[in-house]
Amino acid sequence: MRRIWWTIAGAALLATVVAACGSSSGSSAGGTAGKPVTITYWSSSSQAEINWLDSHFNASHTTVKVQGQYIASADDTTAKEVAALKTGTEPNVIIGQDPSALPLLAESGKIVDLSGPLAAETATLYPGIKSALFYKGQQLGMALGGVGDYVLFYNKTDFAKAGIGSPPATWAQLEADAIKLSDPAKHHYGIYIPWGTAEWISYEWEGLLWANGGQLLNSPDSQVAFDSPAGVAALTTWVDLVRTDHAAPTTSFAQAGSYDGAPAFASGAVSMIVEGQWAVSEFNTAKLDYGVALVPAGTSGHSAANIGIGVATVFTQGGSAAQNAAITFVKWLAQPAQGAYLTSVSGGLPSSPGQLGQPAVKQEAASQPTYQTFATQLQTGQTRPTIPAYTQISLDLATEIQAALNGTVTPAQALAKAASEGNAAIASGGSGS
Amino acid sequence: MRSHRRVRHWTTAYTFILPVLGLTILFSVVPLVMVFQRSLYRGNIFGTNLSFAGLANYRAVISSGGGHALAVTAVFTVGFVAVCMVSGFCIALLLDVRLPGLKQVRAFFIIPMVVPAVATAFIWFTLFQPDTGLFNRVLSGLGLPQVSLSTPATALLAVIGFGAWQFFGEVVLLYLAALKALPRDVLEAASVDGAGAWQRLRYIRWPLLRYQTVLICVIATLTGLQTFTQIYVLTDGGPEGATQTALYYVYQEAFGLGAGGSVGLADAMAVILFFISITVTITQLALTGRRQAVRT
Amino acid sequence: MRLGAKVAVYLLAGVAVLVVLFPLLWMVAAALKTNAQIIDPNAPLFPSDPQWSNISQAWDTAPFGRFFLNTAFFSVVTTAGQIATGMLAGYAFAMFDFPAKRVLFYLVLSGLMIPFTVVLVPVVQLLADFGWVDTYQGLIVPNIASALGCFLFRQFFLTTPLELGEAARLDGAGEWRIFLSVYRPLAQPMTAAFTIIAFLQNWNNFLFPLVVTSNEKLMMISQGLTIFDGQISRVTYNLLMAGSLIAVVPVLIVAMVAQRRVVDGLTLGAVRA
Repeated sequence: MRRIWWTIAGAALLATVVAACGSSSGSSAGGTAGKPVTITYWSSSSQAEINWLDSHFNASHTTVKVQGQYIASADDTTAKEVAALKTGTEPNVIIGQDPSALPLLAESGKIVDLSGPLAAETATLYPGIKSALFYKGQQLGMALGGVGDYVLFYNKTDFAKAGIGSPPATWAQLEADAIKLSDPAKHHYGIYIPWGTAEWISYEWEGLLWANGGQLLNSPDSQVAFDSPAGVAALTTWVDLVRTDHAAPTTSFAQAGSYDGAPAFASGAVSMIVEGQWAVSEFNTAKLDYGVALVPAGTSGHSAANIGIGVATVFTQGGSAAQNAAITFVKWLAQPAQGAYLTSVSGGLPSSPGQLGQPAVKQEAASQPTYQTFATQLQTGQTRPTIPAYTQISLDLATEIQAALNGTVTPAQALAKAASEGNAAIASGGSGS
Repeated sequence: MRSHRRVRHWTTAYTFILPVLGLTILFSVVPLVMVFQRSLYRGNIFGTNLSFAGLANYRAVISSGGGHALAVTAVFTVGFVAVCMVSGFCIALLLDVRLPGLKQVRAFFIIPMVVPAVATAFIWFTLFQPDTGLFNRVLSGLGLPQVSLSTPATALLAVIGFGAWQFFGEVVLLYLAALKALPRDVLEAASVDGAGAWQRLRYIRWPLLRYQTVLICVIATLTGLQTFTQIYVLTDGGPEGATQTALYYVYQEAFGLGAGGSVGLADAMAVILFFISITVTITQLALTGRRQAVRT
Repeated sequence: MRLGAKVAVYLLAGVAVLVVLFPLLWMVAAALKTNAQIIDPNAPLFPSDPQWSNISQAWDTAPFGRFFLNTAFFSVVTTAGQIATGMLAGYAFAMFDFPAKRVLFYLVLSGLMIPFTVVLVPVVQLLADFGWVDTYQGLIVPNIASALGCFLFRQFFLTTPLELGEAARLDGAGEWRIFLSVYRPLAQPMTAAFTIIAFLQNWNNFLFPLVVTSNEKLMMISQGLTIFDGQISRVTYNLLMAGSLIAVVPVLIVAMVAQRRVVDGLTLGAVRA
């Protein structure tokens, strides 16, 4: 019996030695003369999307092959990217959802500046989207099709039952409607306010901050500015809905690393929710009778939303052969046809006018009843600031928002603490200027 | 009695101990020294601009949430050990009763320890789902307010509860082994003298178990300090850092995004964690040594 | 014992077992429900029409076969290595006198006192410098040395008689032979118990592979389950529970079949005293 053990151990040890002598299965370019260069990329999209990109790119290219891998949900990717960069195991390309995380990654010195190689493609982007890609004069990534924002979803059945004729146009109206729609005893609430310490919470709250006329940072990006009266009013609106009005759940509906709370609306636990395009298919599957409207206006009188841009970033991994291969891949992603595919599969919006004419986009615009609202919302959309400290600021902000929603601190105290932490992060991490 | 060996056996001995020794030095001792060294430097998260900073990192650890993490560690560990020890001891007493079938029941208690923690963590996560999770179903059925992992107190209790659920089986088994090793004749003599079950427990069994109790307590404490998977899946250190233990702080600072944002903070906290662990382990070794001295 | 006390004992034991089992029962129930039953708070706890297709759907969503293979490979190789290194060193420390033996033993013991989690960061950095991150050898080699094994086997060999080795030596046997044929078989009970705890620890190792592995091809079951969790539709957790079921069942079967050995292994802590 023991002999068997030793034989297994010996064989396994031998196998390990052989594996060690062989090439590691990390992300190496592995290109020799005549053989195609293989590069790897990370994405937080569905496996189906990754497969589509792989098969279509590999079919039309002979010298470069790509292999995609799902890495984590959108809220969890930055941590993985940081870890990989620290140990030198990052892939050749990363397709992410937030250009604001890129300056932090750029501190590793491993991001390739795309302003030269992709100048032509970048020039075709909508100006607001293009400016989000640059940091200290370097272009850290290429914006892809499928720009996301969010709108207000509301349950038409619930609205009819409560006798509310149309979705609220202002947050004050929303508060009144939410109270009418709520029945805490039956665990039914008017609206879902997101719980969790993740990017999504800051992402959604920043929209309300802008709707109240506030700003995240001051003009030279050297200090935070969200602890202004506009910000305090914004957070107070949320806290009131949860704590005083009992119009929003005190339990989190976060699932699988996603904090937007789609399950709350899909299961009928809440009547309203601020959500992005990805939720549309979920709500359709749940067979709800829902409608969409612009996010209600704040105290400034107009609506506002946050914009998420799919971004492809190239890293220095694997030497110049791999970098050139990676740039080829990103250029291909930036073509209108691919942009249209990404737009249609995500339900997002085009990142450049060139995509508008594509059949996939036209079909999406025609068939999706929610499309127009998302497009209109985009006009009042803003992007998050592109500075290295943003990730830290966002984390501090989300933590304090949580504390305020829990009633541990007042909104003013929460924002003051987040502001001091944010300023410390800017001071140590450097700002955009 | 060990007599001296001939010289040529030394080479054998050194060859035999080389693998363990070499690997231990390479992967435990050297990295420990590196942790100490790295804790004295500051820089951005990728370490591309390091500068010597002396003990500044230790001060920064305390101010950037590390003090809070140590407090959470204390609360978590005490809660974890208490629940494990009390429930483990009581159930061991129960299973020690000489009734048919109880011996087989022992096997069930290995289950939480052997199944992958990630799998059970996901189960526990769903138990807390609003409206449909088991706990909230029971609570709303009783008319009580629901609980959520986004409330700091609930999150900490949940992590303690889940951690204890996973480990208390080991305490049951260890106590069972200890109970079975108690001298039967003393107990029988006592019951002949008219001592009831409770008196036997209190005056004979419990004092004899005192040494074992401390030992199991130490094992439980070390396990508590190493808790990671449960926190990772259930709460990710939140909400508001309510479940961020010292170890989780190290993980977040080193491999993700912690509050400090500087390299060296993770290492400083790791050093602190090391000193805590070593204090506990030395206690264990000291007790072991004392026991062996008592035996021989 | 009075009947009332007997009933109470059995009842309490039953409650204790229920506490142990309830999450697993919940997992099975949830894994076999449909999407609608999951999000409906009024649906009964146990489904009347179990959806076995959930399990096959979960199996197809992520490469579970690959995860199991990786976990098995890692566990077997690492456990074998831990037994080998621990037994050899324990034997040497117990049976020989050599210069610096005390110092070297304490050095090995220090490995026991340094929690792996404390040195995790530099170890990963070290692996990165070797180019071993995201490789099999990077996962296995740092875990092969077992200071615990060395400690336990030394304890054991201290109780074995020297005379056996003396006799074999007089017959002309070499040291290797003496170890392999004479003393190694004696350690069988300790080896069996140690194998179990080492194997379990390696199978369920989560944090170390998490930070060392990002390539799906190398992932083990625990990390694979987190990837699976991120890929399935977020509204329903029946698939998630199906995935957990897939991860739990093999281990459960092995543990139940070998329960005697597992209990022995888990109580080695008492032997340590």
